Formats: sequence, C-alpha cells, structure tokens
Amino acid sequence: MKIYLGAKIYMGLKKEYKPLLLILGAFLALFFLPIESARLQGAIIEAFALAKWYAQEHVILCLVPAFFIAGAICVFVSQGSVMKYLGPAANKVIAYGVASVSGSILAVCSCTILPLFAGIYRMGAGLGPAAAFLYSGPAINILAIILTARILGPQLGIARAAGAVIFAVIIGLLMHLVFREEEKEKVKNAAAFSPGESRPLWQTVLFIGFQVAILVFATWGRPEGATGLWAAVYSLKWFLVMISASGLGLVLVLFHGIPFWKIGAGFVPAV
Amino acid sequence: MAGLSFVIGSTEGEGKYWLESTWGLAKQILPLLLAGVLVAGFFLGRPGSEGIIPSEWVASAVGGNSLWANLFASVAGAFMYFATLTEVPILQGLLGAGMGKGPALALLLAGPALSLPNMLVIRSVMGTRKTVVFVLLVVVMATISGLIFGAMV
Repeated sequence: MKIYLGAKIYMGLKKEYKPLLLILGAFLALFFLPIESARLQGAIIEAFALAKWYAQEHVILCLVPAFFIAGAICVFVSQGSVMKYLGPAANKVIAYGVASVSGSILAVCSCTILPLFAGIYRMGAGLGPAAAFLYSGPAINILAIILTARILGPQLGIARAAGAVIFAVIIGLLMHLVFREEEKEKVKNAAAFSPGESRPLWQTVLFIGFQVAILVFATWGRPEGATGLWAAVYSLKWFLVMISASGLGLVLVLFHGIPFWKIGAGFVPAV
Repeated sequence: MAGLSFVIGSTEGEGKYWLESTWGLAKQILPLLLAGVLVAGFFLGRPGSEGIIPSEWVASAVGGNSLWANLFASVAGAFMYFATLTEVPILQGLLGAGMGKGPALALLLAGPALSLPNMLVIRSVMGTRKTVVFVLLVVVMATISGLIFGAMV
C-alpha cells in the first residue's frame, strides 16, 4: 500500500513538476524581491519610460503606416513578382540588390522594417534576400551614416557604411547557405506557381509608392542646420504628407474602385 | 488612418482583404514589440540613463580592442533597442568614457539592425532556428569587423 502511494505521488510529480517549479520560482522571486533598491525601482521606471517614448514616437508614425504597406504588399503585389525578384530561384545579384536598396529606402526606424519583412517573407521571398532586407533596412541608412561620420569621425563613418553594405549581402548569403535544404523545397513549390498579374505593375508601384512617401515624410527628422534641402523638406513635411495622402486617395479611386465619397469621408477626420 | 481603415474595410473585395492582412500583421507584431521594449528598458534603460545594468560596467567592458570588448559591444548592441540615430549620441558618450574604436564599430554594425523586440518578432515570422542563426551571424561578424577595424586604426 505504501509503495503504491509512493508511486502515485511520483507519477503526480512527474506530470505536475512544471507548474510546481513555476509557482515555486515565482514565490521565491517575489519573496526576495529587493523592491527597496533604488536600482530596481529605477530600472522599472526606465522600462516604462522607454515604452512610453516608444509609443509616442514610433507607433503612429512608423509602425502603423508600415503595417498598411506590408498589408498592401501581401494583397496587391502578386506573389509571382515577389518570387521573380526575391524568390529563392531568382537571379542572385538582382535579388540581393533589390533587397538591400529597398531596405535602405524604407529605413525609417528598425521597427518599420519588421512588418515589411514579415510581408515579403510570407509572400515567398527567399530567406537570403529577406535576411539581407532585414539587416540592410536599419543599418544602411544614409542619414545615420552621415551623422556617424560627422559626430564620431569620418573613419568610423566610412567603416560603418562599408561594413553595413558588405554585411547585408554576406549575412543574406550565409543564411541561404545554412538553410539551403529548406530553400530547395521552396524552389520546388515556386516552380508550381504561375505568376499572374491582376493589374499593371505601374499602378501597384504608384499605390505602394504613395504610402512609402507618407511614411518617409511623416517621420522626416529635424535637421541640424536651418538651411539646405533637408531642412526645406522638414519645414514642408506635413504638406508633403498631405500631397502623398491625396495621391494615395486618387489611386484608390481610379484603380481600386473605391467610391470617391468614401475617400472624402476618410479625409475629414484626418484633416 | 482610422479613416483609411474605414474606407478600405467597408469596400468589398481587395480593400477588405488589404485591411485584414494589415490587421493580421499588426496582431502578430505589436504585442511582441511592446513586451520587448519593456524588457530592454528594464535591463539597459533609455539612451542616456541606465536600467538595472550599471552603465559604468558597460563602459569598462568595452575599452581597448580585445576580443572580449568587441564581443561584448556587439552582444550589447544586438540586444539593446536603439531608435534610428540614437546610437550616435550613445556612442559619443561611450567613446568619451574610453571605448575603443573597434568595439564602437562592432556596436554600430550589430546595434540598429537587431534588438530584443526585433528578435521576438523575427522569431514569430521565421522560427527559432533561423532567428538564432541570424543573430549569431550578426554578432560574430560584427565582432570580427570590430577586431579588424580596431587593429587598423
């Protein structure tokens, strides 16, 4: 009887040890939590301060437009054309070139790149080009490189620029090499896929281009000096955003069959 | 944006589908990103102020051009969340505190492309294994370039 009971407890422990450990761990952590320590309090405040700053500066202007662009890529850019330029079977030079250049144009902040990356990866882009895109976005940023050169010295600036470009390609290639077996599967699946365009390419380019313009202008940074092209664009940024938004509205009406009154209604709250 | 959502959401067909995929991506990415930002803030603080890890430790760990300093700089850069361009003033401070040029480059190359929030999101898109390989590649390559650059300067 005793042995039986022991076995039963043992079986119970075996099944339940994970939640038990979790509860024990949480209990001990709370029991010894040094809540009085200034460092811990500071760290908690820092965590929320960073999140607050993030929510204020990045969610509306960076993330939300990026989600819309990524959503648009998923729906309006045909899978065939993603496969053609970025797919595992695509010409390597074109694929990596397109990936790193488009990444750096869209590089408003590192968070913007994530939805776009998720979009093209799901659409069947090769792992290598997708990784190059993911890396190049925030790293090959013209403004960041200029700023680095000016503040930290030309040496670091040049090293950063060269390093980032080389990195994007090498990391993409290495990712492709490491997972090349899986990529082969993808090529097979891609071969079965016939590229079909539902609308002319230039319409899709305009459509996504206007959204990118909104994103880029809305997040245009405050310049150091008060003159030059950069500053001129900055002073006009909301105007440029409005123009881009109007362009987007026009594209929606003309090519996507959305009634004109709806665009007007959509603009009223935005203005 | 709310206006745009209304416009495309209330139109059948492609417009609706667009809104759906936008929302699907947002649902997948936003929670992870915010959780990651909270954790990153807890450990390393905002640029210019410190979290639970004292910044003197960071500064003392990245002096010179040893393998360790470069590795530390790229790992720290990989996990820390930098918004675009904030890495420059941070590095200015660190270089002032005695950081070597090699580790500075390592941090610049690993920093903006990766952060804890990003890693969480990338993982949900392409799986744990590929994410680990990607992060390792970035960290290792950043360390090596830091070493080479530090030796050249």
